Amino acid sequence: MKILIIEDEAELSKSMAAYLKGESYVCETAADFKTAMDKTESFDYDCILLDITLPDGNGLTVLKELKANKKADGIIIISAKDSIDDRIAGLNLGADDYLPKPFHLSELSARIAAVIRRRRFDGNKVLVLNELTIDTMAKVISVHNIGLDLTRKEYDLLLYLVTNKNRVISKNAIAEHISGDGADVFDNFDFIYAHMKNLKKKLTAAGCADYVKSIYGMGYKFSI
Amino acid sequence: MKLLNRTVRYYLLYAGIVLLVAIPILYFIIQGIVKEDVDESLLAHKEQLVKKINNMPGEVSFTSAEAIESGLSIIPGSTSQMGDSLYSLNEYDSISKENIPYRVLQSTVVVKNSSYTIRLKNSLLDSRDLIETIVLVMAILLLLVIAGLIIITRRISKKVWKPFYKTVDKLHHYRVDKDEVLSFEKTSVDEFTDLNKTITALVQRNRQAYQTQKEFTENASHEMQTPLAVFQHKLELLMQTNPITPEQAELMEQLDNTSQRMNRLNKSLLLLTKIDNNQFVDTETVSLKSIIEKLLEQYKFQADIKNIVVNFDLEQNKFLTVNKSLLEILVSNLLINAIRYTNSGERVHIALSGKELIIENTATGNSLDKSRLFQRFQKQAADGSGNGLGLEIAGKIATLYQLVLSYRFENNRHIFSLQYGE
Repeated sequence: MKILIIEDEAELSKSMAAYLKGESYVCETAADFKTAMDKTESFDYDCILLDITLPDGNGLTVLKELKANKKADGIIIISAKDSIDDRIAGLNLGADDYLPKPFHLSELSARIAAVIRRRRFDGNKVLVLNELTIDTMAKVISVHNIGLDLTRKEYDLLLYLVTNKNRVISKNAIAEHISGDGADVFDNFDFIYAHMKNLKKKLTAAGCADYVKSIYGMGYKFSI
Repeated sequence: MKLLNRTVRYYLLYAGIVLLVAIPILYFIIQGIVKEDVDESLLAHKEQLVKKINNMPGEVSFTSAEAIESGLSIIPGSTSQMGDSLYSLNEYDSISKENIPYRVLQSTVVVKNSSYTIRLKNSLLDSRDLIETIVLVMAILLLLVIAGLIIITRRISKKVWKPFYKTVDKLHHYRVDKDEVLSFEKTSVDEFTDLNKTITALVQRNRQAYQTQKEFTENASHEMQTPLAVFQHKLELLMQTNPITPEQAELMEQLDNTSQRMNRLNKSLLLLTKIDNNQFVDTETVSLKSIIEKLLEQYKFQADIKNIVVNFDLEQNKFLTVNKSLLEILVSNLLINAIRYTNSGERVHIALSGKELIIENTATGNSLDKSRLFQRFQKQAADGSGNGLGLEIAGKIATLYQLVLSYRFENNRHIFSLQYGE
């Protein structure tokens, strides 16, 4: 999987690349508009992370150019300007997703995975992890081929953990992911414990190994 | 007191004094002139009489004096006083039954070698009437002049001060946070032109200061985003390192919470500047009921965990033409506060009617300080949650859409009310 990170802040692109490398992605970076145009013209990527504000041009131009050349690269806009106009403009131009800064790396990883899954043409939208199977089309999770009765939040939670497998995901990142914008105003992680407890109970009851580990209360990790 | 009335009051005072002083003075002056005039004519008359008597043949008949002229009497012999003496005298007139003032000339003359005392008198009655009429006419004239002065002053003042009142009216409606340019009409009065110029300059300086401050908050929040993102990313990468001791994990957790708080604070500040900058222009008809139901669904888990019962009492739905995300933020900020500051097992009550939306919760402490409630960073709870911007944001959004957000404390309950007005 090849990913291009178009981002002028060196520290940000470095962190993103470092995190994504662990996910067996191959990351390239472009720090300015010109490099970005060169790279997108010459190569194909599975996903492009695109910052709109570049020192020598607008990221949206890169997006327009890609679409004009009928390139199939998945595109996620990462922008410091969380404005509705930007979001709409980006999505209208054909971006797959929009992620306002600052974001959690685990969230970025989950979004990239979703974009890549959606863009797969071989129809394989099923994740298999030993006895655990996640059908991302039907949104069904089965253990030993027996479907689990999970709530929407539990499904989201497990998919989030799996797309960040073998990484520690902080409680804040989980809270933000499963409850959207609203819940991040509560400094209360009780609801995560509750969801996590229910999820683990359902998984173990179905005969699934205990993959979800709590890391000293700092966060959770799906170890496999 | 109005400026106009004050001016007119001084005019009136001055006019009154002038009237009081001028009329008696006028009276005495005219009286003096008349007296002098009468005296002169009496003296001239006497000279003529003396000539006449001198030219008379034979003895002078004294008894016929009264017959020659009324008021004339000639007495032989001299009085002790020589020369002319003039004096005033009041005599009772039996016909008109009133005292009549006279001017009398008593004079000792020598005619044909014998001395006589001639006494001439002249009625002043006509003169008195004349004086009185003149004074009256003068008084009326003076009064007319003063009255005219007052009316003209009032009229002219109203016209002259018009630019001033216009300026005051414009200033009254001016808001520094609204994007309007303050312009005044041209006036021919130098003082007002000067005033308008000064005000325009002052307003411009204020606007500039306001703008700078606004831009600073905006730029600061924007510039803050990148370092905040870098910080958070590095922390996430640090979490992936191996091995991690429990002590390190705890520190990282605390750092992550702090980083999250900084992000939220920054997000709220950005939202505030966006509201200030009027960046939410899209409006639509929004149902308050569906917003409340959506938020209740969203925060159900939070309420359940604290064992808080949230009732929603729907009397009548209300539709508002607003920006949907802003209204959601407003209601959710109130609802979040209600859930956050209610003790476990207590109750949050939401009531939606055609007049207002009420969100109330059982208080854990006393009434909140109303004066500081909707101001920036005025946290009145020490629990560390919340960033002190939620209510300011709610208040700003309410003001933007002419909604009235108010707080009251009743029966140990915090009650926030959002009135729609008209």
